[in-house]
Amino acid sequence: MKNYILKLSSMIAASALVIATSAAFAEQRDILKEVTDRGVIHIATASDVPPYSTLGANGELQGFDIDMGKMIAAELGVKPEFSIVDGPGRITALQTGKADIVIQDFTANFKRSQSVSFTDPYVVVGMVFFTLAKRTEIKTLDDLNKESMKIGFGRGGSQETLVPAAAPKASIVKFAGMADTMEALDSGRIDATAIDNIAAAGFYAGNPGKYKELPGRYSREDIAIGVPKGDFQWWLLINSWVRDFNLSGKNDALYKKWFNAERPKIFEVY
Amino acid sequence: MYNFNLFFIFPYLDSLQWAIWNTLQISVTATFLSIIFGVLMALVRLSNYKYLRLCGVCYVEVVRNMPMVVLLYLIFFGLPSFGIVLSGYISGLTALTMNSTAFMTEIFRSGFMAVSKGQFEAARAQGMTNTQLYRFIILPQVFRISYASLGNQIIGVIMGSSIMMIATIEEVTAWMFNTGSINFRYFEVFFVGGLVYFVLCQTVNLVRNALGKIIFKTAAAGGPW
Repeated sequence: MKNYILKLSSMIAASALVIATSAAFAEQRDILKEVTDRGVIHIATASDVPPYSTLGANGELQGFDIDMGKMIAAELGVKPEFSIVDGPGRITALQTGKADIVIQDFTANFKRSQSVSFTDPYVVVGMVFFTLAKRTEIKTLDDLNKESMKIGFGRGGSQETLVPAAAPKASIVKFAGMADTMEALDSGRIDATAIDNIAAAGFYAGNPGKYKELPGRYSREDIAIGVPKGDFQWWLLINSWVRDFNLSGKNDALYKKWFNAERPKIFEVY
Repeated sequence: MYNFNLFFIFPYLDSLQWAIWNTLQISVTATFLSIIFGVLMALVRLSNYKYLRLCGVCYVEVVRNMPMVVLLYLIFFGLPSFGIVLSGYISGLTALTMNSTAFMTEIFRSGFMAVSKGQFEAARAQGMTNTQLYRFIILPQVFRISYASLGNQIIGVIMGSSIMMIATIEEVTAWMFNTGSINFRYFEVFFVGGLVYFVLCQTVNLVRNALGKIIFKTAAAGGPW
């Protein structure tokens, strides 16, 4: 018994020491210097949200987010290197320095800004609910706001707080990602799902006539580039790129190319 | 600069309670079912009929050589294409039980084979029925022989339950992802999650050792004490 307690307490002490020292060694990063020295910029993105980014048939990533990443790399004079991450992965990638920027349908809000930093938005979206077109009995959100209705979405997104707020009586079912959620919607396991309107349009375009969107936008979300917290110079640099992207017409052109529509205004006029 | 601070986890400990309960629920049910099916399948594998034996071998080899994630995806997302839509809990339980049964089969089969053949013959000579033979003589010995491996497999089931979040079951791993996505303190969240699994498995270990001493009255079934 004594031996066991000794082993257990030494295990705990060792792990506590590792954690404490790793926190102490984290220091102020100069990301711009790191990127230019390396010659490569690490961009974390998704792979299952058309048209922001999808995996093409040849294994290459393509999409609105990918083109943005390539433009940033070109401006900095470095090569872009994309890595695919999921909801939790994009945060930890920034926090551990595995990614220099994250371009992934990333909603900027105050709560998240306490762990990572966001630039100005490059597109504004709203959350919409959609369901299979053959479910004619579901016409508006009120039809979904019942206990027998199941709304599903992927973990790690802004839907986690927004969907229960919009439809408090419905049952919430959480999946590992959007791909699994769409599979569940197709098989009838869930009655509806929610995602931002542009990503939803991507799914409708891929499956014409299969889905129908319920009326109403249930959030106003600023989609922005995520950068690690703590390096103001890096944030300033990427943010000024985003401002130029928005104001110079490059965003209009890219938006038209991937979303097939005119780009709406980003900032509210007060 | 990352400030590791467990204070951020406190508001979410309530939901952690339910997550632990879900983990335990599915793990205990799957363990119980897989022990029963494991014994039955082991007998199938040792039977005198060639084709019955073949079925057993096929089951064990196919399920053991497939990652549980794949099995879960097949049951949860694949079966609906054939019209069979199982709920999340049933799909998860089925996948976990199927996987654990395959391993339990091997554990019990080696247990059965370790019991000397002379016992079967002696019991038959005494005029015991098959049921009496198994109930009073064979199964208790098999249980003692495979006791340590059983404990390991139970821990394996608890670890396997972490995949169940794919089938929308809100257990501890799902809690880790949900909480992390709300407050973005992933390091603290994963640390607490890992601690929970460690405590659960060590509890199983301690209970197994204590029970082993009581039931078998020998130190042979004991652990690292």
